[in-house]
Amino acid sequence: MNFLGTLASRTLGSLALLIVVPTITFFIQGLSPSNVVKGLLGLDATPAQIADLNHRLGLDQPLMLRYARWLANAATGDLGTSYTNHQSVQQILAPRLSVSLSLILGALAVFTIAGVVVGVMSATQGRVVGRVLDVVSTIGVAAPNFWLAVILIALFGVALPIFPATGYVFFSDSPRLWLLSLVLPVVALAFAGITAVAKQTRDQMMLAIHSPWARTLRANGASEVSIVYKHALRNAAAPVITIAGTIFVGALSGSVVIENIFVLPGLGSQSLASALQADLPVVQGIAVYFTIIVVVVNVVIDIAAAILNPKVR
Amino acid sequence: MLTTRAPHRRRVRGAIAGAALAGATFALSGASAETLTIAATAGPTTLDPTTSTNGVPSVWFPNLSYAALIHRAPDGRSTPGLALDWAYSQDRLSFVMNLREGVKFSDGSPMTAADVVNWLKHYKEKGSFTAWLGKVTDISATGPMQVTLKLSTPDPMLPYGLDQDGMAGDVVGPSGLAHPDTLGSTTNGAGPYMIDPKATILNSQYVYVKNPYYWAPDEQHWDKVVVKIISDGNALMSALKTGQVQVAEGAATEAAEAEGAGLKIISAPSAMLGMYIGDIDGKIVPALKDVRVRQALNFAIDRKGIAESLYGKYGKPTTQFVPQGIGGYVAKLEDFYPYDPKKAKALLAEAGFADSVKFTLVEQPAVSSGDLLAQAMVANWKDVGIDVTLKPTDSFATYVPLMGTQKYPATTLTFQYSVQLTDTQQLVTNPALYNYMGFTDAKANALAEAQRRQDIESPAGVAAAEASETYMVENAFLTPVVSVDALLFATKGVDGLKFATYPWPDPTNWKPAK
Repeated sequence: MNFLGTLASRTLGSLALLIVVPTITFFIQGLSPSNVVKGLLGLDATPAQIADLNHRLGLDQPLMLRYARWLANAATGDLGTSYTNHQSVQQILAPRLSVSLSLILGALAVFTIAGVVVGVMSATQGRVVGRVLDVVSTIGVAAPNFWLAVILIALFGVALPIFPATGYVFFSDSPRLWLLSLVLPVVALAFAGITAVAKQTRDQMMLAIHSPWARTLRANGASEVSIVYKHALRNAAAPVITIAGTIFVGALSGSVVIENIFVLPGLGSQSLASALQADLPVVQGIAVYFTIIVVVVNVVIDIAAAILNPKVR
Repeated sequence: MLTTRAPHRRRVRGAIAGAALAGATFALSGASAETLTIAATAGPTTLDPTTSTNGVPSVWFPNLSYAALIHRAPDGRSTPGLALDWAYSQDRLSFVMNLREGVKFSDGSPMTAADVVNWLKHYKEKGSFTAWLGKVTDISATGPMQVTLKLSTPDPMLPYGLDQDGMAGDVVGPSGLAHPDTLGSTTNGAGPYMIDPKATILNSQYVYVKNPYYWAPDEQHWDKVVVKIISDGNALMSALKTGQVQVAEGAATEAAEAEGAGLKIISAPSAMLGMYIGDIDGKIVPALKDVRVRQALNFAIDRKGIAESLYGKYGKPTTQFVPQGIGGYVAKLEDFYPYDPKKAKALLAEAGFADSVKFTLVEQPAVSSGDLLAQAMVANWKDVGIDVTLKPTDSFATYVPLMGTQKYPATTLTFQYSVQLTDTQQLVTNPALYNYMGFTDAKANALAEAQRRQDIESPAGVAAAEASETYMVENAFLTPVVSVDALLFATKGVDGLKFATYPWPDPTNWKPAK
């Protein structure tokens, strides 16, 4: 199978997620003991009030029928309306999507670039840097992002107010403030990823630098710079990109916590509020949005890996 | 707080830009005299007053955009709102309100008596607190600006149901009532502010701007009011310390930090925390039918220890349902259940339930330090041989249906203080908001009825409230544990924050410091 065929096959496989994930989300919520109608109407709601609201929200229909309707509407781009405030799901999530994308793509960029730089330095600068990286990696993996977030806010938001402690500025309002408002949350979300990518990069670089083909290149007079940055780095890149993709998917769940701590109006903070309110259409919509993000990133990673490593093609 | 949203105006907001250019602080967002930025720990499920909940902070959202028929001043007095005056008839079976002339809703349409009638009928049918209008049999316009409510039996609570915290008086305009689905995310009230839907991100930030038709422009203290939803305590304190937020709902656990940061702390007794027993008839746990067992549950609790350790100076031990200062409070009842494990054991033995009482206690969400409180109560009960298992819930959407199963005999609760009749009517009568097991106590019903025949604030009304309070405490319908304060943390730029037990803190009273 050629590259395009492989890509098409993987994309189709990823697209299946777009049906599987929201379907699982729908039925888990449908079977949960939470009840949005009773939550809204309170303890002293009359049976007539409950029946009326159930009917108005379509919750008096069988679960399978509700699912079929949701799926049919979703296929046309209609993700429904919120049970609680009756806004369309797209309307609720549209402003939040850019916030979450800014955060998680920012984190992806930071942990990939910083991780690769540190990893290459570690592989080329000797054992001391490598040991330090090992220690920092362990800390990076062990330190929860919410703990790091609190420390960053206390240090750089309150004690030294270099960055805003909380909040978000939209790019359209001020590109400069948008960037400043993202620094601390992106660092908090990316930190564990930096160390993981750095360690992976170092290990792959060490393998490449000490491989037989590298020795052959040296014997043929190739410079160390050329071996490291032209050949070894390219060789190490594919596995590094793959692990970056895995970390990215993990960062999506981390973004829920980070958005709450930094008070960012993203999909993560909305998912928490909607789940607590049992607002199923909104939670479904967020599941769809997150799945699309994962699918797109997976496809991009596949393409990047294929470009960097002919064997993948 | 820096969150801003202006989809159709690509300009940098002055205050924020200034802060950024200065490069040193982000404190200016919302700190200008024309913008008040408030932090609430949770967003409202809806902006529609029909299904809005009350209590702090939920009530802040309707407070800003919906004027109530009756306005309760911070000192508790009933003052004119959309209604200029009101009165019960001689037989107390009619309640007549004369409405304010010249009031307009935020869309510019004038308020008429018919609008008020339509709203009250809508609320009576669909509202979250329909009990306020439970005894109302007819609502009609009896003059161009007069509305009359007919009652089946006397009910002195109407002025409370129709005030800004009761919700039933938050009149929605005709266009809102014609399109009720729009009310979840927009507003159509006659209050001082109205929501700016374009700048609002539901569950994150609610932006209110001046209602251009408000009848008292002098009382619109801000050009804009922004309510930020900040559920994380650390984030809340950081936002306050850096001036991103000016007023926030505080917590006792953060009071010392707020004090250290030089913030203003305003507090007043706000709620009773403890355990509600639904199974008074002993259908699930037969022992709970015996008053001696319920009294043993009360004697076993170390209220002083729990109050001091969990709530510090913002919590006081209590055995009652209203605090000092509210009609119905009986000072001598505070000593009715001293911490006495020996007496608790003796009562259990006397009732024939020594070491054999066992039940599950559902944890209501949003009880202040609720997990720790419940665990402390369970530990106290264990010491006297009562075995209680906790069942946590994560949200009211889970909690309410769980209680509706009628499989659980008791729940922890936060009971926001109001007047004593509210406690009686919501806790021990049948029907009652909390009476999910449907027990009937004839004397509790009769005592409530006696209160309903009097004005709440009259000497006879207070005496009737004291009788209800005494009966509820002596018969241990609940296990009250601690009376907690509501707290506001504020920067020095805001005044008018003082509040009493009831009404709850109201952001329309807050104004720029002179």
